[in-house]
Amino acid sequence: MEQIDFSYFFMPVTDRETTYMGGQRSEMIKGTLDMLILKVLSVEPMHGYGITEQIQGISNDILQVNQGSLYASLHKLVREGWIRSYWETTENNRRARYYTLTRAGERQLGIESEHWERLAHAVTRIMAIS
Amino acid sequence: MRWITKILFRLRTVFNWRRAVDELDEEMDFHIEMATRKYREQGLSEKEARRTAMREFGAIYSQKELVRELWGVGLINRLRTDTLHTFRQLRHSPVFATVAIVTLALGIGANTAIFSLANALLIRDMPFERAEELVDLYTSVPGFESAPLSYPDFRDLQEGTGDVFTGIGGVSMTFGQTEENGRLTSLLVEVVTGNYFPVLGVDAALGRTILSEDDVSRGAHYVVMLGHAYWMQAYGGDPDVIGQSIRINGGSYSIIGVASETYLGSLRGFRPDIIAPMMMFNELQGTPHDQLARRHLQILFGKARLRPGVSMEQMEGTLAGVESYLRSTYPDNWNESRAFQAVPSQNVIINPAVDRMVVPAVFLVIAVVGIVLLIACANLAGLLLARATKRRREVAVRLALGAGRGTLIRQLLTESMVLALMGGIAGLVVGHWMARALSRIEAPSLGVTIGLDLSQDGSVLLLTAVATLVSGIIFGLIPALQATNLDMVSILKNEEIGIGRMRRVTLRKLLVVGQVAASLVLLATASLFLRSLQTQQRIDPGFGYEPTAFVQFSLPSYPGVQEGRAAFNSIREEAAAMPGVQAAGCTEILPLEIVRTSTIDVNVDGVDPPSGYSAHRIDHFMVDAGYFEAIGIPLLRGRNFRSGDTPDSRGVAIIDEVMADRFWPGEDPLDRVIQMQGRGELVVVGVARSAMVRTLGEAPGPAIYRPLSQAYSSVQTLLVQTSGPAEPFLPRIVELVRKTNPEAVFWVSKTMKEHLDTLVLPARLGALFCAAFALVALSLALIGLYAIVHHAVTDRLREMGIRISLGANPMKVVGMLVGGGMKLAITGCVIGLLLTLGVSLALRDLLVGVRVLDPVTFLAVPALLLAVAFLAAWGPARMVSRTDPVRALRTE
Repeated sequence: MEQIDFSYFFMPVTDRETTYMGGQRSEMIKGTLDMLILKVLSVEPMHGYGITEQIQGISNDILQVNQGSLYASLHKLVREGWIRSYWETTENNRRARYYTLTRAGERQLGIESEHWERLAHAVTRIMAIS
Repeated sequence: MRWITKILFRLRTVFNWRRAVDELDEEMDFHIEMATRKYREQGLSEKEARRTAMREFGAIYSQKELVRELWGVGLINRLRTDTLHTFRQLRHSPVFATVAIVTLALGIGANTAIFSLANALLIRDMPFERAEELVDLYTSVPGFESAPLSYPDFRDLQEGTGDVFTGIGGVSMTFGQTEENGRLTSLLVEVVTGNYFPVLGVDAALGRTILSEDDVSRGAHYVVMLGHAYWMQAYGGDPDVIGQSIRINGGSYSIIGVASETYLGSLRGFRPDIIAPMMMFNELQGTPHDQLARRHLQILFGKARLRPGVSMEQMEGTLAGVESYLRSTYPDNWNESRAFQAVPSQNVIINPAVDRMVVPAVFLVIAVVGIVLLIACANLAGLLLARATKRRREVAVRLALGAGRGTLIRQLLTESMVLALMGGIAGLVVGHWMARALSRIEAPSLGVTIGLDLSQDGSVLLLTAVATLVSGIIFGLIPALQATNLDMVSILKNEEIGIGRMRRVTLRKLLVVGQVAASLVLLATASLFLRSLQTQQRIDPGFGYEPTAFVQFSLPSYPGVQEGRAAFNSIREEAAAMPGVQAAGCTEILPLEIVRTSTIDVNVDGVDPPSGYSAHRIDHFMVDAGYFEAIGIPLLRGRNFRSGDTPDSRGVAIIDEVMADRFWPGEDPLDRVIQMQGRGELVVVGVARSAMVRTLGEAPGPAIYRPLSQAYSSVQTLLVQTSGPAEPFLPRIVELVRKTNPEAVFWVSKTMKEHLDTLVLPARLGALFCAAFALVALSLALIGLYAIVHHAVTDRLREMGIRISLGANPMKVVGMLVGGGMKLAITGCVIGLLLTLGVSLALRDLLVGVRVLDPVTFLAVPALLLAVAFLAAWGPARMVSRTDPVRALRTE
C-alpha cells in the first residue's frame, strides 16, 4: 500500500487529524478531510455514518476516518456556513442528522479541489525526478 | 459577513449547550448503531459487533469533552478551571492574597468614596420637575456677582416677567433656635415664598407644603414644614407630627407638613431642618424693622420657571426691561452697574461665584485619589512581579513543554483579575463606608450637618467596575508579559543571568522609582495642606485671646428703645458681677460673624469716595463701653464710650487704626468729624486696635464703633470674658437672662473658640481629608516599597552568596545591595520633589500661609521615604551577610 505523506509547505498548519491507513498512522492536513466531506455531500445529502462509509468505501479502505475528526470537521463546516444540518427519519424509522451542501459550500469545494489539484501536481513532479 | 454567522453560531451554541450535548449523543448513537448493524450483517455477534463499532469510532476523549471542544464552550470552561486553579494558588499564599486585596480595596474604595461625593455634589440633579426649565436669579454688581435679591426687587421681578416666566419662587436661609431637652439647638431654616414649591413641582411627603395661602401678610403665618431628615431624627418619623407646634426663636409655629425625602434644600449640601414662609422672615430674624421692605437688603435667591418656548435672549431682554425700570424709579439703589443675573439651574452647583472654586477643588481631589489607586496598582504589579520571579522555573518548564505563551498569559491574567474582582468588591464596601464617614463631618459651630445624597447609584457601581477592570489589567498584564518572556535555557539551567532578566530588572527598577515618586507627591501635598492649616490656626484675628462666652438674644417685652437699653444694661452689669467673669460687654454683631455684617455709609471732608459711589462703605459695630475689654481689643488712643454719650449729646464714634490711617494719615484722628449719610455727624473720640472683620487671612479693613447708648439694636450679643474655660458659662448666662426676662429669645450661644474654629473649618476639612488619604497612601507606599525593595534584594541573594563565598567582604556586599536600593529611592525622591514643586506652585492660592518651598514638607517627607527604603533594603542584606554561602549556592 502506498504511503501518502503530505508535506505541509503549502497549507497553513492549524491542526492535524489522524487517519489510520492500514495500521500505519499517517497525518492528513485537516483541510483535506473537509474537502472530502464537501465532495461526498455534493453528490447527495448524507448523515455522518454515511459519509464515513462513502469515503472508506470509495477509497477502498485506504482512507480510514477517525470519527472524532469527522464530527469535528462537520461541526466546523457547519460553522463556516458551507454545509447545513437537519434532522430526518431514515428508511428504518430512526432519527438521524443529515448534512447538505450550501451554495457557499459549493464554491468552497471548487476552491479546495483546485488547490488540491495543484498540490498533487507539484508533488508528482518532484517525485518524478530521478 | 461570514464572521457574523460564525459569532451568532457560537453564541447560540453557548446557550443551547445542553441540547447540543443531547443531539450529539443521539447522532453518535445512531452512527454506532449503523456500524453495529453492518458488522452483524457481516456475521459478528451482537456484542462483538457493537464492540468493533465502538472501537472503530476511535479512541477519542469522552463524549462530553468532544462536545465541549466542538461547541466552543471551551472558553467558559477554561475560565472556570483557571479561576479554580487561581483560588487554590491564592490559598497557598494567604499573606500575598490579603495584602493584594487590602491594597486594592483601599485604592478602589477611595476612588469610589470620592466619586460618590463628587457625584452627590456636582452631578446629581436636584429632584425638581423638569429641572431644565428652571433658572436661578441673582443680583450682580462688579466685584460682587451672584448675590441675593432684595424682597422689593423680587416682587418687581415677579410682576415684570410674566411673559417669560410662569413663576418665580424665592428662597432664603437663616438659623433658628429651638430647645431640645433644655438645650438650645441651632436649626437651619429655609424661608420660602408661597409659590416656591409649586414652581419647583415638589410635593410634601406628609401633610402639605408651604403654599401661597401662607404668603399673604407679614407675621401672620405661624406655620412650618419639617425637613425629612430632621423629622426622622427629632421626631422619629412620627406620622402624627402634623398639627403639633414647635418653638423657634421664641415663636410658636404649627407643623403643617414634612418635606419629601429627596428634597435636600435649594443649596446643595445644606439640608434644611425647617422650612418656613417668607412672610415670617422678620419674626425669625428677630428684627423689629421690616427687612422685606428694604430695597437695599439683599436676602433671597430666586428660582424661576421658563415659559415653554421662551429663549434665553427673550428672557434676558425682559430682565433688562425690569432693570431699566428700577434704575429710573429707584436711582438710589439701582445704578448702571447693577444688574440681574440669570443662570440655568442645572448649571449651578451651589452658587456661580462659589462654583468656580468648587469644581477645580473636586477635580483636584479626584486626581489625588486617582494617584492613590495608581500607587495601589503599582504595588500590586510589584508584588506580582516578585511572585512571578519565584515561579519562573515552573513557567519556563511549561513553556518548554509547549504551553502557548497566550495560555500562560491568560492564566496569569486570570489570577490578577480574580484579585481585582475581590479587591473591587471589598473596595465597594470600603468606599461606601468612607463616603459615609466623610459626609458626616459635622460643623457643629455652623449648626448644620453637611447633607448630601450619598445613596449608591448606577454610576458609582459602574466606576467601581471600571476601576476594578482597569486595575486588574494594569497590574496583571505587565508582570504576565514579563513572566512569559523568559530566556528559558538560562532559567532551566538555573542561571541568574539571562537576556530576559535585564528587561525584568529594568521594569522593577522603574516600579520602585515610580512608586517612591508618586508616594512622595501625595504625602508632600498632604503635608502642605496640614502646614497651611497650622498657620491659619496661628493667624491672629486681633481679638478673642482670652476664653470668652457669648450669647445673642433679644427682649421682646421691651420693644421701646429706652426700656430696652436699660434692660440690656442691667443684664450686662449682673453678668459682669458673676464669679469668674473678668469683663462683660455688649455688641450688636460679632466680628467674623459669617451670617451678618453691618456697614454704614459715611463721608469725610477731604477724602473722596471710590468712583461711582457717593460715600465710603465702612464696617460698622454698635457696642457698649464694656465691649472692648470683653473681646480683647485694646483702645490705643482717646477714650472709651461713657455714660455721657446719650442720644441727646453729640454723636461719637471710635475708629480703628486702619480707618485712622486711611482717612487721616499721619495726623491725629481725634475730634475729627465723620458725616453719616443722611443721619447726622459723628466725632471721633477714640482709636482701637484693628481686628479682622470679615474673613481670617484678610488684611484688616476700616471699622467704626458706635455706642449702643446712641444707636440701638434690639438683638444684642452679650460677651463675657472668663478666667477659666468659657463653656460652663453659657448655660449660666442663659439662666441669668431668663431669670429676669423669661420671654427672652435666644439666637446664638457659643464660646469664642467655637466661633473662630468655624472659620478655619474649610482649611481643616481640607487638611483632614488630605491627611486621611495621605495615611492611605503612606500605608500603600510603605507596603509596596518594602516589598519591592525586599524582593529586589532577595533576588540577588544567590549572587551575593557566591561573592561572599569567593571571598568578598560581607560588609561591602551589604553596602552594594543597600546602595542599589537607595539609589532607586533617591531617584524617585528627586522626581517626586520636582513634581511636588509643581503642585505647590499650582496650589499657591489655596495654601494660605505656606511658602512654596516649605522646608518641613520638602525635607521631612523625602527623609521618611528614604528611611523606609533603607530598612527594606537593609533587612535582607543583613541576612545575606550572615547566610552560609554554601546554602546560598544551592538551588532554590
